[in-house]
Amino acid sequence: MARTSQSWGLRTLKIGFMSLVGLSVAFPVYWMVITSFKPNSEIYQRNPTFYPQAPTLDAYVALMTPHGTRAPFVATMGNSLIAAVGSTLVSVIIGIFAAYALTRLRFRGREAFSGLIFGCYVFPGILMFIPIYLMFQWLGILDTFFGLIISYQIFGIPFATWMLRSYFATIPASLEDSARIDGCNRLQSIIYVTLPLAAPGIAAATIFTFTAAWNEFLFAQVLLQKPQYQTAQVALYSLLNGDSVAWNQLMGGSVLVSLPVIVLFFAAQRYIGSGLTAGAVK
Amino acid sequence: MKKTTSPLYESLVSRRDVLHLAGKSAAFAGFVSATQTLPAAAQSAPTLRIWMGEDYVPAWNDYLPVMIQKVAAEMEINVEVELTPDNDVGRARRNTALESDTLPDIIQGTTADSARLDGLGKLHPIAAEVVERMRGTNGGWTAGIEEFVKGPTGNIFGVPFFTRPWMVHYRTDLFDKIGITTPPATLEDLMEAARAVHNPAEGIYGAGMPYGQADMDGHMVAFPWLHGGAWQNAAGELTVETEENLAGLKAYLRFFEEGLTPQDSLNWGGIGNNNAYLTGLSAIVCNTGSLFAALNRDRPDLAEVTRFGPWPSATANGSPAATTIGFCLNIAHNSPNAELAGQFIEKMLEPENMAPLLEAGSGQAMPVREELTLIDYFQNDPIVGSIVENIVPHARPLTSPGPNTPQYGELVSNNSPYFQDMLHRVLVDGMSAEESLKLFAADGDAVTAKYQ
Amino acid sequence: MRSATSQKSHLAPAVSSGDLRKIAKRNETLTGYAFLMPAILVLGFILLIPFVQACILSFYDKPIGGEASYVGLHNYVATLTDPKFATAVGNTVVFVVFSIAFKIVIGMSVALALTAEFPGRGLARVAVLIPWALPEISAILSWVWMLDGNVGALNSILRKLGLVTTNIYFLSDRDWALPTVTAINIWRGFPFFTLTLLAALQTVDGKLYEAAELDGANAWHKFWYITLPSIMPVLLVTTLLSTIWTTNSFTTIFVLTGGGPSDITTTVPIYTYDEAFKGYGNLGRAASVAVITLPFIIAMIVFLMRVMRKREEME
Repeated sequence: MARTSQSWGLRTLKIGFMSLVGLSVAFPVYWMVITSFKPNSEIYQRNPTFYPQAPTLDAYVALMTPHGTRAPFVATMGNSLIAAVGSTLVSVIIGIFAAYALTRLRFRGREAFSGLIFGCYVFPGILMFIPIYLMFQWLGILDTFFGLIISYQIFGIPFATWMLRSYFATIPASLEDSARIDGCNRLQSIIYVTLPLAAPGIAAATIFTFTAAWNEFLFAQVLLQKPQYQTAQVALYSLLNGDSVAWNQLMGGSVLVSLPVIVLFFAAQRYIGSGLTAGAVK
Repeated sequence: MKKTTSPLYESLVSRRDVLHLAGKSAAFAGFVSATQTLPAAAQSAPTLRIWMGEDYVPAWNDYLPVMIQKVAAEMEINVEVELTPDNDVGRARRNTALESDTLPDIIQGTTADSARLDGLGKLHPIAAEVVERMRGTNGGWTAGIEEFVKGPTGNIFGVPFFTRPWMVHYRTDLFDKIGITTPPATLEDLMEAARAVHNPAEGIYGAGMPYGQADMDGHMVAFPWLHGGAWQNAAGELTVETEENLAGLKAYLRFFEEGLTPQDSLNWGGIGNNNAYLTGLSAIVCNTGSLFAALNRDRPDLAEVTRFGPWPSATANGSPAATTIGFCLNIAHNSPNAELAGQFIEKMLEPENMAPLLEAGSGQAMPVREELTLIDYFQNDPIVGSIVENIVPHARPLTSPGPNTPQYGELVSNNSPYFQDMLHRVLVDGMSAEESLKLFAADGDAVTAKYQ
Repeated sequence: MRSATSQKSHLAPAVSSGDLRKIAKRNETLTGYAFLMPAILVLGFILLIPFVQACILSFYDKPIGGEASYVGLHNYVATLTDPKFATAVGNTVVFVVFSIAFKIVIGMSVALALTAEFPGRGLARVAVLIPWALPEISAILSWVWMLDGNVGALNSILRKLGLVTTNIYFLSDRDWALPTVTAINIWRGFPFFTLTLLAALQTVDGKLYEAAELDGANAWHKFWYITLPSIMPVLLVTTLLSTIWTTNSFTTIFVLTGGGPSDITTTVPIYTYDEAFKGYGNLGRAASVAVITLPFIIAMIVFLMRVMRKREEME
């Protein structure tokens, strides 16, 4: 796109802007990483140090050691993985069908449904968790990953549906129609035509729902009560106890908890960035 | 300063824990192996659900569940024990249990929170019987401790567990150098001392006072006392708009107005308080043993040069004071095993089980049983001994001089926003102290009306 | 969808007889319901019941764990006459407008920059998403630490660079607090725009650019007449979603300032939280705040749906 020649001023502006953005992204991350390798005695100083004077793995060792009734951090990450993968699968699969219906099919009540799906954003989570807890208690699905995964659909399905809907809208229906003329049934035409074309959108929706579920802590804390089911975010949050914070552990835990998401970004960016569909349309 | 060998151990427990558990490690190992070798209770045996507070000190969190398992094994019952943190997510959890009426059989709480549960009818009256029974064992309760767990009608709603006093911390390295004695005799002396070392250009603030939402009980509850006032009377009625309280409020505001405390103390990041002292930014700060535990862990150099005192009296009719948070063990009103839970609590508080826990608390947990005050740790430890000697005599429950009422708890207990509103109206919005106190009184009336 | 149907009838004139069309339509309706059913079931179940409960609750005084007592419209009157609520609404508008404007501009610019070929592009594309991937609580907490007026890294850097001589109290100064929390929200939120727009840019037909270049279009023309219209559906949804999230955003401000100093950074969600859990809480009062803000959020959703439909019809 940027193949045409640009003036020097514009280019400098561009480089300056990108460096500023890059710095604002990189510095806090750098800060969290180095803080996780500092001893707390170095963190609690009037003058901050910009690289660890005496790097140490203390924070990570402490995180990996079970304390009190808390599991080692890696075990809590396993729990998070179950919840996040489970809820992403459910959201994206349900979302694909819902988004397809909302973009490709014409039927009574369609607009009402697309609006209703947004209902989740109408009420703040802090007002939702108590009624949901009571409902799950009644259903006997408290303290189960199934229950947690269901609760994550509150944000998962609406997001996946709307995101996918907007991507489906960019794909001409004519392609699918031609496939159907060629003898595909509707399901086949979705699987062989629409989904591959919407791959970047599906990847984006997957990343989002996974990240949102992975980073959620309020429902996880309230709906999963057994210590062995604790998710990583809850474990991280519980490092903030009263006013005394083990900063290096908090930052170390944040680094660990961010890694899977970053790995996922790497894996998915192939689909998002590869331009699979560029030129394939029309 | 002694260096410990294992970095794992260093980060696991504070330096003082190392010193103390070194002598006790045999006993500690004994507990651990006891829980492993004792036969598990039969499946048919009753199960108690227990929620305890997660503490700032890792050693406490390590020991407490082990101790509970040991007691359970001895009583031949099953327990499901869990430590919940003191933060918003932990609160969400406890609020959910409260709202759904699924509190565990035994739940630890501050006396203010427990008074609220009591006010809602969520606690079992059997706690009073347990307290009564325990008057006759192990030397009985420490003097005045029962005041902590008394409701508005004089009813006892929970079993005292331990107390945690607020202590004024002084940097002796800074004060000794210029010949200022700490702790000072009066509040005016304290301010003088703060001014004497105040040097923001060098990164030293005279005092670290919080003006946000956290830590208000240690400060805004105490300041009226220093001037002979209080936010409620002995009958449990709010007494907000008095000369004494106004004087207390004005004295507290002066630290900020004179710039003796960092500007960010308006925020609740803790810079007015914990972090200010931990980073060496402020020379005087008031906090509970949680700060001392953090100092031991993160800035042992500062822990070495810290001296404690209560808030000194400001006027002739005031007196030195240390607000003290009480913690108690409560039994849920709908517990199917209330009698058993009572016995369980009784056993937990026996010196054999409780003494190592208090030691693991490294100075932030004070005993509520006479016999526990006699253990070597409270008698002879140089630092904890000084707390027992200098602070505990001035310790007062948050509610002093009145009972635990829900309206008082809501208005003043930790993380109540009403104090912050009162302080920010003056310091940020420029209102007069008198006017702001009047609005605080109106808040008090509104809160009282809620519980009529 | 009108457009799809009309295209279909062009493409397949063989099925245009009346009966067949009716059958096709019934089929389409059935398929539509069938495809939507899972979403409706799950959401109806976990959303509707709490939603109805909260609406009912707004007419009650309800401390947590306590008895609910009916108070009629009292909660609504109390909220609407509370000057703090008006402040919170004003703050929310400023916070949302500035956040979204900057997120769009930065998110779009970065997405466009990342479509260009350059070494390390794959890495850059992932790196730019990091602010949004970090766990919110610790990312924001580390900002609290970095922004501290006395011991923070940012002040230290600004002093070393000679940009400031006195410390800036980013989070407790009357004038700095709201811009600071807005900036942090932008920092955290712009990668979401970059991510969705980057994906949308892949669906733009490259041939259009080639054709435009032949006609002598410059970069700006290409962006305005080709890129922007092509990614518009995605941009709209992203903007709307982000607007709703930003309006409901709680943790960032809660951790940074708790709504302070005074009420300077109190937004509606912070206000709602305070009402729900202040002291021993009043869930009814908090529910009334949520119900009062309901029409505005619904209006946003309806607006989005209108625009979406219009775009789909234009296709």
